[in-house]
Amino acid sequence: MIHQFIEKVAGDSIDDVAAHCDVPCAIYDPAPLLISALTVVRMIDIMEELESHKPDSNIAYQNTMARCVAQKEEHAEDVKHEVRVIWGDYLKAPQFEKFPNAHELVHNIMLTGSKCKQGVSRDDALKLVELCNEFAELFWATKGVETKRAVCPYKPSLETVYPVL
Amino acid sequence: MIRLFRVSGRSMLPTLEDGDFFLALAVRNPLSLKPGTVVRLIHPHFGPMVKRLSGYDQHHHILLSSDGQTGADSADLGTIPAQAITHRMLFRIPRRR
Repeated sequence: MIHQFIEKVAGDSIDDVAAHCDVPCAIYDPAPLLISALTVVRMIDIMEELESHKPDSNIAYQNTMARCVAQKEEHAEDVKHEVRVIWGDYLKAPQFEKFPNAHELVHNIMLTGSKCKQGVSRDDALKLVELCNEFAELFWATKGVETKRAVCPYKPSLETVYPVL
Repeated sequence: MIRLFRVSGRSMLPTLEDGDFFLALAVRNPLSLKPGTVVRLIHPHFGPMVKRLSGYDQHHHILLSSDGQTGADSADLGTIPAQAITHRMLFRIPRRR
């Protein structure tokens, strides 16, 4: 009511102050989301390895398992966050025209990221890495930057997209 | 001395919503403000904005934070002299009840 009154009598003379979420800094890079997707696979690998060995200590086993679950959850969420930022803030009409599959690809990453949080399927995690690779290729293509695929030099040693700069 | 401002954006949620007004008092000595105060400042590059003052460094630069989870903070906004602060928020006039 007070707000409406002020808006009516003085709205035009009130200065705006920005409380924007993004500066914008214009720094966008798919590298963090790829590392997070690889981490999801790695966490599942560590969990499977842990499960295959008889634990010496139940408490130690539960501690490590809990830490892996927490990290898997966090990194799968990081993938979703990073993809959302690039999709929502960087990609715009010209890129969507040129890459009409962008929306579907991002949506698939969202769905697969959630699956990776819910379960421990390595296949789901591998799918997440592959979708993120495709997203990285799309991102660099919008900038006219060539990419290559190489096996990341650390576990889980999976094929990963890198820009050729 | 006292001015009304309109919030544009969501980085100060839940304290301030997009479209809210807030009444603010002019600040004469920014270094006297307590951390936690919601301030209006003129950023050297990004212009007028509303942020929460989180502190000062040894060079009398201000440290800022957003209340919203994805808002910019000092790491994004760079070093800003304390004199950039022009007003401190007194109270909010919400757009929605």
